[in-house]
Order: sequence, then structure tokens, then C-alpha cells
Amino acid sequence: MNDISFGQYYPSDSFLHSLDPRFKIIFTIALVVGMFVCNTVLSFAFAFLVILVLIFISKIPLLTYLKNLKPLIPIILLTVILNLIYVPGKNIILHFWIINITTEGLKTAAFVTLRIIGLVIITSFLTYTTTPTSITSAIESLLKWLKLFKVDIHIFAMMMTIALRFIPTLIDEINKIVNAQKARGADFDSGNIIRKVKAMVPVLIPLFISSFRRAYELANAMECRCYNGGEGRTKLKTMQITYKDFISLFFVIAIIAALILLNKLKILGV
Amino acid sequence: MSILEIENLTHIYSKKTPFEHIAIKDINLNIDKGEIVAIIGHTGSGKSTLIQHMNGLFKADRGTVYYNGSDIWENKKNIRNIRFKIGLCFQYPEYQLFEETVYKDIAFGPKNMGLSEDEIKKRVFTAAKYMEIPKEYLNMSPFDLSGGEKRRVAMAGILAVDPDILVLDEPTAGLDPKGRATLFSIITNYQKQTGKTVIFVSHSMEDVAKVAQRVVVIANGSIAMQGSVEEIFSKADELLEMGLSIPEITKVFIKLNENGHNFKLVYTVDDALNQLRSITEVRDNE
Ligand SMILES: Nc1ncnc2c1ncn2[C@@H]1O[C@H](COP(=O)(O)OP(=O)(O)OP(=O)(O)O)[C@@H](O)[C@H]1O
Ligand SMILES: [Mg+2]
Repeated sequence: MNDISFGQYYPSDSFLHSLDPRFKIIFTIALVVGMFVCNTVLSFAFAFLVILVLIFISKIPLLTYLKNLKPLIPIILLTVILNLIYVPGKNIILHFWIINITTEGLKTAAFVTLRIIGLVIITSFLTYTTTPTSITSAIESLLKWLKLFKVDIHIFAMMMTIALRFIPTLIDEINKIVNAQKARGADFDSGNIIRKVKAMVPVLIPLFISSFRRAYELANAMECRCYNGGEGRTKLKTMQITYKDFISLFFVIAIIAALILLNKLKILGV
Repeated sequence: MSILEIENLTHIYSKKTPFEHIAIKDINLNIDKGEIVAIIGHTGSGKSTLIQHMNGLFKADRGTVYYNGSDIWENKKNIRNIRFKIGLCFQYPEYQLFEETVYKDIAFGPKNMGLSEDEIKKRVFTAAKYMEIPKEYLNMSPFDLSGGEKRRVAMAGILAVDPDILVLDEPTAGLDPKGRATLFSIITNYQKQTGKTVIFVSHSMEDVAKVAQRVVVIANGSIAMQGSVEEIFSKADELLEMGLSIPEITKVFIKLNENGHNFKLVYTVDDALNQLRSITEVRDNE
């Protein structure tokens, strides 16, 4: 159970979860582009309506998405302030000292903020509804054509999969070692930076040792199961394209088309 | 008075996520000074979770842990001192070794306590002696030792802190029978000489019968029963139902009694031998 709780995957049985990961990657890219296309009030309104509907379909609480936005608040604030100050314009609404706040600045700041929020939520749709391993195999499948240029995409996908697979194991391991050293009175929380870095040594050394041991054991285990690269390998979980993917494809195309159209319509000039 | 008191302890992993899992619930447990207590329970029953509350590595969602009558979390800043009083040794402690020499690794705990060089040296030597680590090992790299030796070094690292209560999570996991016997004789000797309190988790019913004075059985995150070795192992059916077992030698004696003999039930091989010897002696005399 611990093994699937890594990354951001949020298990559920929604429509979005059941889509083919390859399609989901393409949809995500399309919607990200769509978000950049938006530059009128109407198109943004429509984009967020779509996002709200998707959140509903995903059967994941809204709060979980908002949690993702929290670390971005400083960046958003910074871009808002910079845009307010630096975007030139004619319509000055506020003036103090050497700073002019213009309607143009206000508009850009609002749009940039909305765009960041939209992008974060759209990419969360992919990471929340798809396990890291299926994302990796989807990428592998989508980049198959690179074989023509003698790029061995399988090796990279395998490395990615293994790395992802071991993230929770490593986190577990770090927790265990940290606790074991804490039990001997190690102090990770106090002191200046140098002391804190020094305090990590009793954690890092056992971690490296066990990682190398793991790598060695895994390599042996793979060899014992006759792993010899990507040639002729089949998958346990094959990806299946279903009618759901085509329905979604239709909707995504419709959404992008609507966004482009709505961009032409302006309310009160914005 | 109990040296350690656990009251209504509940721990939930990954709270407020889809992976929420109640590992232990409403645990009440008293440990007396100088006791050797064994904690047994099926895999995933919450033993490791429970003992990590004893020295404040976990903070409970509900419930309190009292050490000598006061809440260990009463003063947050004091929790490090609590950890020096209640020494916790994890499962496979050899994976926590990191120093260049065995000596330095054992000295890690005492150093963290801020003791003087002389005192540290004294503690390292005492701990090494208890754990039967030869003097010439102290200057070797811990990574050059065998698995069982590494384990003893890691445990010496805990003993060097000189805790009042020693808590051991499956101290003999992965050791051969001889290694297990040695380790347990070390632990019982240590307890006899120092009079300290020892709590250990074990999956080996033989070891529990041989070493423990009291047994606590955990099933699905709650205490299912507790009592003396005789009390617990006389409820073989209940234990089997919880995925546990009784010592092999006890099974033998139960079978013998079922076949019409009339032996007193025993839990260790030594007791079995004593009983059989006394019977043969009686016969010889007749
Ligand atoms: N970090 C964690 N996150 C989520 N769940 C956990 C975590 N650690 C343990 N658990 C769960 O809590 C329960 C109790 O685990 P615990 O390690 O305390 O069991 P245990 O009795 O020590 O088992 P064992 O005999 O195998 O060591 C298990 O069901 C386990 O899956
Ligand atoms: Mg355990």
C-alpha cells in the first residue's frame, strides 16, 4: 500500500483515471497550450469553467488541488507586483511616488495569475489521476519514433521507472534512519546551517550504503529474470485505447476551438 | 509505581489522505521498573508503531505516554532528554552505523549528550563489554564486521547512552539460533546486572518464553491480552487465531497429555528437561 502513495497519484475510479495515459499526456499538453491562448475575460471564464467541470469529474476534492497552489503563492505575488509596476499603459488609475498603476498592468497581472493557477491545476489532472509508472510507460510509447534516430528510449524509461519506484522506499529509509539516530540523541533541528548539514552525515552515510546495496540486489534480481534491455519486451499492463479516449479527444478539440473563438470576443475591451 | 505508562494511545498514519490507516488504537499499558516485557503480535499489528511512541519519536494523535509519572511531551524541548532515558533500538539497527570506527559509532549517543571525553570513553568501554565486543574491534571500521557483530555494535551504541528503559524491536531478526541465544543471554545478563527495564518485540515464542516476565499480545492495533508467560501460552487457541503460536516444546507436551500422560505444561526446553529428569530420578530411586 505504501508503494503507490508516492508521487501525487490520488486513487479513485473516476472517468479521468480510466483514460489512456498517452491520451492524457496529449490532452494535458493541448490544455496547457489552450491556457496560453487565453487572453480575454470570456476565454478565461470558459477555461475555468472547463477546469471546474474536470475537477468534478476527477472525484478528487477541490482542496487537494488548491494544496498544490500553496507553494506558488510567493511566485504569483511577485509576478503580480512586477506586472503592476512595470507594464506601461495610458490609463493611470493609481499614482504614488514614482509608481503608476495602469489598467493595462492590472489586466496583465490578473491574466498571468489566472494562467499560473490554470496551468497548475491542469497538470495536476495528469499527475493526480495517473500513476508515475503509467506516465513513464506512456512517455516511452509516445517517444517510440526516436528509435529511428538510434535513441534507446527504453533505457531511459526503465531508469525513470526504477527511480520513481524507489522514491517511496528511500523516503521510508530516510525516516527510519533519522528516527534511529534521533533515538541516540541526534539533533536535526537546532543550530546554524553548518551544524544542520553536519547533522545530516549520520543519515546520508547509511542511506548511501543501503542504496548501493539495493542497486546491487536489484541488478542481480533483474539479471536472474533474464532482463536484457528493451528488445522484444512485453508489458504486464498494456495500455488500452477505448471509446472514452476518443470522446475525450473530441471534447478537447472542441474546448480549444471554443477558446480560440472566445478570444475574438471582447467585453468592454478586455 | 510504573516507570512507563501509556494511556489511550491512538496513532493514525497518513491522516486525512486516501491512505489513512489506524495503526494502533486505545492502547493502555503499564510497565513496571525492572521488568522484562515481551510484545508479540502478528505482522502489521502495530508493535513498531507502539514502541516508537515510547521515546517520543512519534507524537500520538490521541493519548499520553507518561515516564515516571510525567507526560513525555509536557515540555517539547525536553524530548531529547527523554530519548536518552528511554533507549530505543530499531529492527536491523546495523543499518544505522555510519562512523569510521566502532568506537566512534558507539560514542555517538554519549557525545550527543554532551558528556566529557573521559565519561564517553568509560561508557563506550562499558557498553562494549556488555555487548561482548572484543576490545580490538573498537578501532575497526564497523562495515568490516559480520552482520551479527554489526548488530551488537549498534546495540552498544544505545547502551552507551545508559537509558533507564531499553526498548528493542525484534533484536534477533535475521540471526542464526546461536546468535539469537547469545544476544538474549547478553540482554538478560545486562538486565540482571543493572536492574533496568527491558521491553522487546519478538516473533519467536521460544525466546519470549525463555526471557520475558510478562507478555503483551497485540492484535490489529489493540492489546488483545497480557499476563505472565504461563497465562498467555495457556491460551493457545486464541493465540493461533491471532496468527501467533506457542513454543514448539509446549505443543509437544500438549500432545503428550492428549495421549493420556499427565505432565505439567512447560514453555522452555530447559523446564521440559528438568521435568523429565525429575521423573527419571523418581523412577531410578524406585
Ligand atoms: N509509514 C507508514 N505509513 C503508513 N502506514 C504505515 C507506516 N508504517 C506502518 N504502517 C502500517 O501500520 C501498521 C502497523 O505497522 P507496524 O510497523 O507498527 O507493525 P508491526 O507490528 O511492527 O509489524 P512487523 O511485525 O511486521 O514489524 C501496518 O498495517 C503498516 O502497514
Ligand atoms: Mg515492526
